[in-house]
Amino acid sequence: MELCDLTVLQAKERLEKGEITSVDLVSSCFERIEKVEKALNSFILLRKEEALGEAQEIDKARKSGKSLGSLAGIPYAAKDIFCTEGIETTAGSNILKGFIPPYESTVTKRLKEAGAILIGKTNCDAFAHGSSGENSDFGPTKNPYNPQYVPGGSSSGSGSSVAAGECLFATGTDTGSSIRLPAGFCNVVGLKPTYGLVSRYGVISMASSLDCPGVITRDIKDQALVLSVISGEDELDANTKGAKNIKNRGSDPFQGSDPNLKIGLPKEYFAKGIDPEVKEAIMQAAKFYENLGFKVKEISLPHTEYGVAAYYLICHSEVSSNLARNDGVRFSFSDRSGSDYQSVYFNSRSRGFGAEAKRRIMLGTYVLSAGYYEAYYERAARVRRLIKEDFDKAFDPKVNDVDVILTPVSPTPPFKLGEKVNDPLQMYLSDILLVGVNLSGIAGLSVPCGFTKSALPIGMQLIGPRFSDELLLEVGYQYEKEHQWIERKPEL
Amino acid sequence: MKPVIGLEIHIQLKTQTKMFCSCANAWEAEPNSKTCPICLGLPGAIPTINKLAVDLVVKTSQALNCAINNHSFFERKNYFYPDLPKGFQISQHRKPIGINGYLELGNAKKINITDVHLEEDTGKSMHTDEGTLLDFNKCGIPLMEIVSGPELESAEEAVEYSKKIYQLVRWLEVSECDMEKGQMRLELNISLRPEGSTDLPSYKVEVKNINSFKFLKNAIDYEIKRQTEIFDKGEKPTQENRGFDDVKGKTVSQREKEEAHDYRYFPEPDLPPLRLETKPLTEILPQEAFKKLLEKFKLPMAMAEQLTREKSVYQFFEKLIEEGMGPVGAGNIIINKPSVLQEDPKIINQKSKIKNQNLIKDDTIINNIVEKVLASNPKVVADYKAGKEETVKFLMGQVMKESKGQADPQLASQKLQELLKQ
Amino acid sequence: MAKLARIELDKDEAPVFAQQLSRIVSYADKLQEVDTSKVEPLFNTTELVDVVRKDDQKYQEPLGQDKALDNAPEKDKGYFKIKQVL
Repeated sequence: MELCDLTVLQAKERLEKGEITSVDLVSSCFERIEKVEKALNSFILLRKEEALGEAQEIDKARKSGKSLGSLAGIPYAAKDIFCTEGIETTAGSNILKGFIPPYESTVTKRLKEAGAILIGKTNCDAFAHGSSGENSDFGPTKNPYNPQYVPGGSSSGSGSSVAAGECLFATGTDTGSSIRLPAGFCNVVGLKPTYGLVSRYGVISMASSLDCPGVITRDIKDQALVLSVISGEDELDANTKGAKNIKNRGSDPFQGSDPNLKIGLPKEYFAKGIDPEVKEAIMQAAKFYENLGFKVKEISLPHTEYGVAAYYLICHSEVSSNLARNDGVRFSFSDRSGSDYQSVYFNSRSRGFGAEAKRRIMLGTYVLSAGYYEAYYERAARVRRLIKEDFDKAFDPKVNDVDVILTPVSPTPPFKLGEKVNDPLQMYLSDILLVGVNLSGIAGLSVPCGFTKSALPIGMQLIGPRFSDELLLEVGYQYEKEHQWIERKPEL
Repeated sequence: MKPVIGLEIHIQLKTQTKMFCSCANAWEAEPNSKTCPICLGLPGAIPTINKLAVDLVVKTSQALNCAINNHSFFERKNYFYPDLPKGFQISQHRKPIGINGYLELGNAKKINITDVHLEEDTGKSMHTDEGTLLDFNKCGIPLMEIVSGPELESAEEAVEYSKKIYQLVRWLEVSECDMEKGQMRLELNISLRPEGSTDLPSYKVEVKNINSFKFLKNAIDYEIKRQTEIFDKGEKPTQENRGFDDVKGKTVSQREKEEAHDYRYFPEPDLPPLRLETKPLTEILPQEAFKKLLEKFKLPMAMAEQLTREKSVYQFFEKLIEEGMGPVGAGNIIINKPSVLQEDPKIINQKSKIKNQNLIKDDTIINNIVEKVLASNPKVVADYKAGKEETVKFLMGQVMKESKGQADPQLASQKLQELLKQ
Repeated sequence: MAKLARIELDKDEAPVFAQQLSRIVSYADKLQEVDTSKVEPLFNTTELVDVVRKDDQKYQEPLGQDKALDNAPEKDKGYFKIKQVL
């Protein structure tokens, strides 16, 4: 195993013991990148020289006994939707090509302060619109387990780069799928944290009430470690007020979950259309938990079928408003060929935005427009509350009384690029499994739970109430420590 | 045809930092030097609420007799314009901070205040021959908007209303309202309807860009004339936005690129809603202070009006009263020598006592002096009786002159009031 | 709608858009099935209220004129510049 395939904790241990240097780690990542990046297209931007320079500094500081941050010397990648000061940030879109943020997002700032080394910006569906990784203006990303297949999106490059060993962890965002799906499709771990746990300041907004920044890691202990650095209240993000940061459990975490925990399987999430291999893998996981002493029972989330409708009405509306600032006036792509100022807007936006972004903006404008607000946007917000209440009841000891909910991450294994899942029922199901969690602002963890016969990864999702992130990590860890799916590396 | 007028007044609040970011709320500075990712609308930047701005709007709303929406929240007002970097303005719509208030004019007529809400200011655009230059220092400054109902019926009422708002807002120390610096901006809604009608007209003309009381009067006068002429032709004025050209003294149509604005308001997802707990106002308001001067201290109206223009002036008056000075004497000193506010009230009182001892207090003498002054100024007396109450100041001045400054001001004033009533 | 969003769609983008638009309408129709009369809209899942900052607390330094203008497509003597606004 190469250094770039180590987990963060393993690498940290060896760094602290002096067995390896950060320069070794960064170099190993770049060697891997050289080998596989052409085939995968995980990155939009790489910064080899700067990263090596920073690694040298950290190594020097470590040698001289200076106290270092908890992620000192660990190479990571940031989804290109995180503003990184002085480093181009495109959100996967041509309209932001050349945009160099004059400021740093809180997440990458905290990582920097902890000593982590940014090696590049990962590819993503433009402005996070999409769940396959095919919607980037900079070409699709491929799944390391089979480059003819999608890695999942929108944090596609983050998922593929961690799986392929191009970095040790990567940041991502999840608005309707976008951390959990790539994690599930690429055999790595991804938590969509509770909404408001991790600061959105400096994260290019997709849908403000749904976006959750987080990380993709190789295993659950790494999740806890990195989240302990980036989570917690930020005075620059009003929605994080009161959020306490996740505790880093170190290499001996999770004392062992309370065996009296109850796991719910929502029948609406296992409806017709789920691929039999996926279903089998999830049921195996359920059985595993039962054998551990957990109680597994069926529950119902009755408003599940309305989740997709509510999600898209709300999401497109917020997107259309958030993307209005891309007007070609104050930054980057600007088409000034027209004769008046209105043309600057029309031309810059029409030519700069990709097709999907344009469509979503227009749809969102429609949903919010006069006469439709009550029937569309506001009604969707009411249904949103009903969906959240379904989850509240599920977790309520006096009602359904479960602690955690178990579902597949996707109704199907990864699909082929360009295939665009033909079965509309499966497309719908794939959204349904994930968007309810975003609508409710609760936490969802994607954990690897197997492979198909054709060697494609399968992920399971653990869902818990708001601020149950640590509980989900614990429950996931119970499974992970007995199932080392992570050992099965992609053949590159 | 009678005018139907409503006013929307925008006021920049007196805070140290902007509404949604901690950039300085500064007047003059190098262009774009007081900006940050938030007020520049850069991708990824999100707002946070300035508590003081909220408090100032709550205070103003209460002073305007508004009901306070305890669960007020912010919304996005979406439209495109170069001086609006996010492509939306964070404002309020469904639940503004204050609603259903009123302001009383001098003639006891109540003008409804539909709402008082809080929003952010836009950037500044300067048009040159080569293009438009944009400076975002102003962008994000907290802005309070006071919206009146359409009860104003003349230019005089509109000016009086605006002046009272100006006085009140300054009194509360919510803003300096310096109109030359753009800290208070007036927007006029005006239409005409037939005499005796109480229906709202089916159209309204908005006039923006008015930054003085004089221009407000001019704009209204011009619009009344312009709209009347249209009606005389048998037509109806178009519903439109116009700008006021203060050089030419007329309003000009602004052919907007967009038809009706569809602002697509929705609640601002980046900002949790407010929870406003309101305690009753403890400080005295200008109207109350005015009443107190008239009723308790029996001051003439003109003096009372002058003493309640600025809170600092009124407070100094109260200090002199505390020291034991007579109200008229105190009033006179303040009015005749504004710089007296810098001095110690105790010392003023002492000086005044000394002067007082030598004052003429004899009723007959004072009576004669006053009668003489009234007889020598028949026109002024006539004006006073016709309603021009400020003329009493002139008459009082003449009495003091006639008595070589020796008449007891309190007694002289009382005698003057008495004789004028005859 | 395109005007409100300041966007123009190419000819080949339009059919997919039409499809998506009708899907949005169908989503709205679907939501009509739900009885929402007794439930308030949910706009913010944090249930936080009254999150404010003190006026005199500086959370970050201003960018300064140079940094602010760094990405400007056109600038002039410290200002952002665009074509004539009518």
